[in-house]
Amino acid sequence: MVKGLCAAFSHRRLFKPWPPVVPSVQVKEPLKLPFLFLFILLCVLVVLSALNLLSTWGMYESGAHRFGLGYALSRLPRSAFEVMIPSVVLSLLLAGMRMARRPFSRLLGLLICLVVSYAALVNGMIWLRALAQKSRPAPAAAVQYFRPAGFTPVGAVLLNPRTVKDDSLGGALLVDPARAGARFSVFPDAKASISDRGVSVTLMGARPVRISGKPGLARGALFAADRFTTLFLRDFGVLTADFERLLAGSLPEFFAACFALLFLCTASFVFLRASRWPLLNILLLALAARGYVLLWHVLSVDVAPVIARAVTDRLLVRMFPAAAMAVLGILLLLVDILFIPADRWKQLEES
Amino acid sequence: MNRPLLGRISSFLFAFAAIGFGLFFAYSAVRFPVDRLLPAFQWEYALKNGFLLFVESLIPLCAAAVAVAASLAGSSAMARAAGAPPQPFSRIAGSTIVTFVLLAVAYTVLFEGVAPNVRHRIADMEYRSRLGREFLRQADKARSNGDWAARRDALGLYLAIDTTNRIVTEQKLEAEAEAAARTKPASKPAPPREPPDDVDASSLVKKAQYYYDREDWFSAHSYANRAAVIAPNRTDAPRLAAQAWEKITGAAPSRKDRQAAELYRKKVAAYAMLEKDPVAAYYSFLDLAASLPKDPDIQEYLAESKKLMTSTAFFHEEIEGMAALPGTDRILFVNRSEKDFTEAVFIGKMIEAGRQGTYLMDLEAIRYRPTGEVLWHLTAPYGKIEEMADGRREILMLSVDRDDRNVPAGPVYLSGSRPAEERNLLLIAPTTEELAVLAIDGGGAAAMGLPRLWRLRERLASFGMQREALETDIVMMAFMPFAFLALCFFSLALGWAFRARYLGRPPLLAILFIPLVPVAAALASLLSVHAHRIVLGFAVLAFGLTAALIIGAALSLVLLAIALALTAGQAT
Repeated sequence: MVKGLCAAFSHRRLFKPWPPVVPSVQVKEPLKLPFLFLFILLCVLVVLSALNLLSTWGMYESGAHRFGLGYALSRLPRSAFEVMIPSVVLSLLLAGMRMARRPFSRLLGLLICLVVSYAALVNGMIWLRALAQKSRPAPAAAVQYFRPAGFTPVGAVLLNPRTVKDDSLGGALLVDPARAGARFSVFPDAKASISDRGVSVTLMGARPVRISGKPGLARGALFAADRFTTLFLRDFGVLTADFERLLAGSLPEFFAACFALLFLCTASFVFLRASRWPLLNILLLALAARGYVLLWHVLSVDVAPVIARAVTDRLLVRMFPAAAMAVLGILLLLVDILFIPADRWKQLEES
Repeated sequence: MNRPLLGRISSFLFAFAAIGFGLFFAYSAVRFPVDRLLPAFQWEYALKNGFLLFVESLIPLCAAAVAVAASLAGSSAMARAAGAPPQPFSRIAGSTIVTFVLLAVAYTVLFEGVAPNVRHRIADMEYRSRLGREFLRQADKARSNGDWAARRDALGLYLAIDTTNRIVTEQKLEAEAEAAARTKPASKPAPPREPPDDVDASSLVKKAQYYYDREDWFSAHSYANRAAVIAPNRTDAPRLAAQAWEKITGAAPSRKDRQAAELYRKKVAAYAMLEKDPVAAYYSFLDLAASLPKDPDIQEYLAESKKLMTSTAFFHEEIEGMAALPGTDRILFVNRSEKDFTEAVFIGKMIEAGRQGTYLMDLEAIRYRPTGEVLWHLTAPYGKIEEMADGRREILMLSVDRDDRNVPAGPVYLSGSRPAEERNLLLIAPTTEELAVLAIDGGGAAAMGLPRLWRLRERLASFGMQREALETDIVMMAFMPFAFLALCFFSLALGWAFRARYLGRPPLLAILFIPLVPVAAALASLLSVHAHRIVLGFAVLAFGLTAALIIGAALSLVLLAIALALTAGQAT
């Protein structure tokens, strides 16, 4: 009897998988996928929105007021809007990983992912933008960039104000380390103004001086990303800005652009069946997704202006990046249909 | 211990590390910044920068190596014997936990111990390169001015930095030859010789004058008398004889007596200056020692004045030749911030020369009121840090030449002034160790290890560094090893979950794609580190350092727990 019990609770029995309640994974998985995708999207959106919220407060608001629930609630829609596209793309990637482990029909998977992600992206961006416009937080002030008695780089020089209040700096010491002679100069008062390009400070005294440049972001330096992450965030920023512009300008164009982007991402599931090595396939898919964002940046920032000079059709210029994405997606779909065996996942599982 | 998985992970870790370091070394050698560094530093830079890039990429490299090793572990090497029970993955991977912990320790040592020093060395190479180019520029200028000695000196200083540069060595030899050829031998004024022993009156008068000048009154009197006998019509001979006789009869003090009196007066004057102006006293005693090198009083007070002088000044020769030594570049700090004034200091270069002391170059300091009124503003070419008996530190800003009183280099007051006794001194608040961290572009916190940063954080913030940035760096440094550990476990779980379906060795095409794995791992790990930075930076700003440390610990714990749970939960 003891031997029987031991045999029953041996590793083999303990780690033997339970028999499936639903016999066929082929039926169950497609039904679960949309809900699973939405769940993943929700989790990713919450995490990325929170990160965006924290970094935005830290960089632009922390000098002006404390972090509180009121600020978080007012800023959250905007943060969620800014991370909506990366959230959807990342959720597609994670759903793809799930499909790599529990494969089913590739076309069904593509269709489900495309429809659900499209609905989520389009609705998410429309509603979140509407909410974000209702509660826009206060703009940043100089108090954010300068700390009393601390050196803050502005371009190639450094500024050390004795007092900081809103946009006014008192008793400001200007240091120009590159100068050969006297590097220090003192100004009784200074006024700072913030723009998208950076900070410009007018130092008032016997000989007024104006300096401008990218501030060393007294607090922004805390959240400074490495150069690769900076590029990554820049590319997603361009993508979000373009989509926001399309959303503000024309809904059909926005719908088309969303579709093109998501179609390309879902068509890229072809990478999940590229080889008999699922890890490599997933990493290829991740790199491809990164590449698409970079491609959009190149098309939107570098190529689109060139096309704008060559053609007069504004619609073509606006939709050029989205069209390129759609064409690339079609190519990937054709590769999937023509060159990848339909039962590759089945082969992989059986192997 | 499970040798196949552990062995495979170790092999991949070694291979990825070796290839990664090799690639970073090659990249650093190829992308050598010619505009910032001298060609002589190329290989040293390649090694050090390659190492830095390698350390910065250790997380993605290790994550990729672990993921690839785990995902290929399902192939033939891991195939169990027929009939043997399958082992749970948690047991297979159990021994890797120890490996990962050891790796995290190694990562900590490299990231927080070795890398800051290497970063400092690269910054120093950049400074020495700038300096070397400045010396070459000076040498070219000297050549165009025809000043071969200056060219020789400038090239000599350059060669102290770039010792093996053959072209510059030849140029220096050429400059030395040119300088030697153009330098006329110093012609000392010949001592007046004794006139010849002629017997004519004129020669005798000259002889008499010669001995009169040397205060040999008797000889002078004798020769003058002989000249008067030979040529009675000469008036100069009797006059000289009378003067010599007057000296012999003692009507006036001798020159020696007068010299002794003069010497005494000079000694008293120099002695009087000893307390008030040791530098002037030093030069006075130096002059006296030149004329009377064996005078014991002069020797004693010369040594005394030298000793006293070192409390207010230092010899210029101490700092000469040090410019080429490694040091800290461009230091900026708030020295004092009181209600009525703020004092700021800029130091172009600081060289720590061990027991010789700490020397500074290109100083600038300012004291100003909150209203913007400048109380004083000075610049000084050189400085030396002196530790005072009460533990405070001051900069001596007056450098003097050991022999020439005409070449002192002291502070120049651009506006305002200070009392005479303070003019050449500047009390500073930071220690030498703190000064080294206050460099504008020296990497700041990045150039320090965690213990040092923790110890200095409060004081550094008072010198104008951003307290929040320092505290965020502290928290990041403290939790990076845990992030490294968590990412290793995530990679292990990911690799195992998506292991390859190859029965044997993967095909060549798949192997060719392996380099993409670190790229993807880098993307994920860098984003993960950035997310850490956002959370911890926010915690520092919103709640302070202590709370940030607690939040960081909780975050690391949660991530480690998830990673371990994922690892343990993998299928057999």
